[in-house]
Amino acid sequence: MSWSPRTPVAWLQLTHKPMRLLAALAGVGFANVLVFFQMGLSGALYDSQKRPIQQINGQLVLVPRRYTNLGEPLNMPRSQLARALGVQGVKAVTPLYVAKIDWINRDSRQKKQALLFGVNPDNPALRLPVLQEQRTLLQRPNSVFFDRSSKSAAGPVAETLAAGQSYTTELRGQTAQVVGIFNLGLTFAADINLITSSSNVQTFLPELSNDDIQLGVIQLEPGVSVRRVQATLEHFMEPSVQVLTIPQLLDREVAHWRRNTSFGLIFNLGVLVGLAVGAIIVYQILYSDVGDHLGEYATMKAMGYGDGFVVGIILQESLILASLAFVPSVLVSMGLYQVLLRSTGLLVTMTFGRAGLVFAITLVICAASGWLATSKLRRLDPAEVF
Amino acid sequence: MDLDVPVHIAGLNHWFEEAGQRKQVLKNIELQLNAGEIVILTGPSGSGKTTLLTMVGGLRAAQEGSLRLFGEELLGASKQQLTRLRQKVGFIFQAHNLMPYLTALQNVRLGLEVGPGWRSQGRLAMDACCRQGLEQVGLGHRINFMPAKLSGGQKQRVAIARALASHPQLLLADEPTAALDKESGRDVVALFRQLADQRGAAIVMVTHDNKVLDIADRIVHLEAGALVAAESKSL
Repeated sequence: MSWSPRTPVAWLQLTHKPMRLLAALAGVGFANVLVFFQMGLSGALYDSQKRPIQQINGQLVLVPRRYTNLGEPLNMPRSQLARALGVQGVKAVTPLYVAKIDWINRDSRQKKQALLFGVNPDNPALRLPVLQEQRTLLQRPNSVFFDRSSKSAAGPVAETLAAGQSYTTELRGQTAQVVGIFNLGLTFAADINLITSSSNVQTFLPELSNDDIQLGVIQLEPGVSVRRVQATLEHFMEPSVQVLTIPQLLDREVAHWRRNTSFGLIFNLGVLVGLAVGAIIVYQILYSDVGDHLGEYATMKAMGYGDGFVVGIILQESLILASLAFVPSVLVSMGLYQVLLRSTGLLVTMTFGRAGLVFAITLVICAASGWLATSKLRRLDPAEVF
Repeated sequence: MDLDVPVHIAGLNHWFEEAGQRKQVLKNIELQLNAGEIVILTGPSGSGKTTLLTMVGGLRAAQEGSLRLFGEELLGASKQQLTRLRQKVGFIFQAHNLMPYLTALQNVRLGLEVGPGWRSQGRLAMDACCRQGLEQVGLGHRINFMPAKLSGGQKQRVAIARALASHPQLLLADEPTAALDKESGRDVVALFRQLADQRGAAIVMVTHDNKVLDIADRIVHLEAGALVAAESKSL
């Protein structure tokens, strides 16, 4: 004797009209893709802002107290960083210069804004292998390293170097020769990333005082407590500066983009619009479905099926729509992320967390819309069949 | 409480609210339906036939008087109670009311799955039972057809098989032979007679079809909400 499943009424009803089902799936899928697109963009925005900070070669960072984000560097005296050397547990310190500077595309003479990082060649503040491997090139006067992910409007820099030729342009009227390529990834702060040596920073930015730095990277002895050293350092430093851990610096960066710019709002609104579109589509489909089949539902009620059964059919249909539409929309979204990567250089990735979140939200929204669409059904009087 | 009496009605009054006015549709109905009995309900349109039928089917709660289905009082009955009672009743509607997205067999299965205890039967036994039901109404060769591919008469016969699937002890039929030709109409009422005789089901049928009146044990006539004559047939 086998357990018999109930006749799958919801499924049979949905698949009875395949074109209508396809249209419904396209609608729900479209809403999903909209949400994925917005989430992907905002995730990529935050991720890409974080990437340079994640490459900082140290455990603590000294910044001016008013510091908000990497794209708006503020000056502080180098002597503050030197003071940190006296604290127990600190192994070494090294400055990270950050400045915005105009890059000139050699061929088109077009100007593009670049974010220029300056590091000490003997102890680079960024953990990029190329800076160690090609230290002698970094030490050369007027040399810069160029980020492969920079916008193509910067010119065919990586290609020129790969072909064994040299790429020379100018920064603030000074000759700048690209001597190497690194991989960091763009931020919204600039279209190009450059790295140069601390002495070259003086060449390209003569107005910058020799005593000023933008970030101070503090490297600790192995095994010491980051928090304890941070507390001690705070004690020693002037109130105009602040010591942050890498996670704290990341938080401050994200908080800036989230709160002080319209990005956070725009993306959150985009997600909301996507969800609203999905909810409206599902509601429309199921509401008209209820209307079209009202006589059939009244018949079921007359036969002795309870409210739970007929409402359950609609809820099942809403969940079937959400589930069937999900996988295609993930695939389409991944394709869209590839397009974004190619056209903007923003690394947008489909994570399990994001996919799971969107699926969960879709299920909830679909079920809620389904429930709303059944109000007529719950009021339906089975005596109406006669 | 007599659980064996499918329908027992005493002093039943019913009103409808119409444009703010209470309009009485059933007046002091007295009627008892015994197991194995076929009653034909006649009367002009608007006489309250349909209202009486829906009340006997547990589609409405009773307002005044007494209406007992299988011994259970429906005066002021709750929605859940009505739903549960309806599972013991088979309905055959004037329009077939089949689910257009289900095959003939699936439609019949929907009638079987409504009652309790069907799960334990197993899919095969259930399908066999439903197939047998369709064969009984002469549709053994149309089992996997969608309703859209069936003629009007065939659809009505599927609806009859659906109503009979759960072996109801009370069967209510609203003009069941209206969509059928003379011969299939006779076949259907013969099936009703068989159901009443062999399974002891009580059957109420609203009909104007003179060709089938002879099948009834009793013919009940409604006029403006009141039973005017209960003609008992001598068999």
